[in-house]
Amino acid sequence: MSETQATDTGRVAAVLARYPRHDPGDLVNILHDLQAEFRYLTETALQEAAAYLGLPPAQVYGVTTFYHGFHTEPRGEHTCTVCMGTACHVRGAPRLLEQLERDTGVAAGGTTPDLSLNVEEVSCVGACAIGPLVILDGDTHGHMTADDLSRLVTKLLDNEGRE
Amino acid sequence: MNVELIVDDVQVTAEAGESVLDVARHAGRDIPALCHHEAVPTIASCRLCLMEVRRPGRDWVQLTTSCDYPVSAGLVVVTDSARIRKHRAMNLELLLRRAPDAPVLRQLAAQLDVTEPRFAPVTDAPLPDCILCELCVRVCSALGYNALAAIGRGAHKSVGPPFGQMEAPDCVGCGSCYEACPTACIPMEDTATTRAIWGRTFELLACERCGRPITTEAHAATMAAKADLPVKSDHLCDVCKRRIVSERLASPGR
Repeated sequence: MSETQATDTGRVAAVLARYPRHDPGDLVNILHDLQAEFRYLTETALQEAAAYLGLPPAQVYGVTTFYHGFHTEPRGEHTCTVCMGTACHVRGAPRLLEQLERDTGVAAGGTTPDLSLNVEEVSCVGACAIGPLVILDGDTHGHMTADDLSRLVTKLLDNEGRE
Repeated sequence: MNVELIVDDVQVTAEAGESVLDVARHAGRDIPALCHHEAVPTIASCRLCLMEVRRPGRDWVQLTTSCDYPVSAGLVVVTDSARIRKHRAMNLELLLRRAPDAPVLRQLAAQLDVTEPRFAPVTDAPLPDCILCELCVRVCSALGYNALAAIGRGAHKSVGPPFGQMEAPDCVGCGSCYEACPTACIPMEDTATTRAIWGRTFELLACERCGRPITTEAHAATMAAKADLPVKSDHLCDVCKRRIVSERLASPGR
């Protein structure tokens, strides 16, 4: 076992230890915690969660793929979500998404190859008054233009590079 | 405990806990149901076993799947009506969208007068005739192998080995999923000595007497391990076992 794998196993065990009841009902909570730890759900993590809860790995995998919020592929460090709700749509949200996709070279739902950014779209976040809006790492940015979005994302990723 | 209910104007007795579908079938009704199998819990996913049910004390008639509707005293069940046929045909059209060439669906379509499905068929399904009833997953799980998973949901749902693998590592090649599949959509290839299923190839175990394949070696070994028995050296198929018994019974020395 490589060193990374050994560390990963330790981190999975630490997450599982928060659920001492071994209750299969805790599965979704465990998946949330594991994803918070690794950004996505590795096969190793899912296998270990399954063994911990006494569930078949196939069932754990089924639950994982059932929810759009869980990812089984490596995810980026930052997430930029473009609201595509009706109000944002009529105010040009598709242009924002196109700009973002052009800048990053990644289609909605994807992740940049260097794992820096996830590009997401969402149906509506309920902040129609300030549309079109994007959410960057949990922060809402309203009244966006394509240029603003380009600058915002470039700034974020450039700062990363300098650190 | 027994309960009395009415199926198509006839009073019948059923055991509490039985499903309305089973009771109607015992009463001789021919009800289509693809996802239902008596050996595993039902999930009512094919939506073809629709019936009209009225509970005592209620003045409305409920259109419901019958495979997951338990009988109760005083239930009034109608197994066939214009309303049932209309909605059953609609559900069949939706299944046909998913599996347009499945023979069992074509046959039902002829019975239910579905001639021109209105929905554009899915053309890129991994298993073309699969209606996603999960019967293979449920059967595999009930047998304790858990080699298959229901993957994803909605338009992109599929069934198959977990973790995106091409091969099912926990499969023992018993072929139960192949047998249970209502649309016969699971590819399984048997040669004289091997069985290929879910990306794996298993050695088949031959009957010592007649040479017919019994099951896969992996399946026999798993069953022996489960029953805590030694793996037998002599393997006989069911037919030969019966033949041996009858030969012994008929032998003059007995």
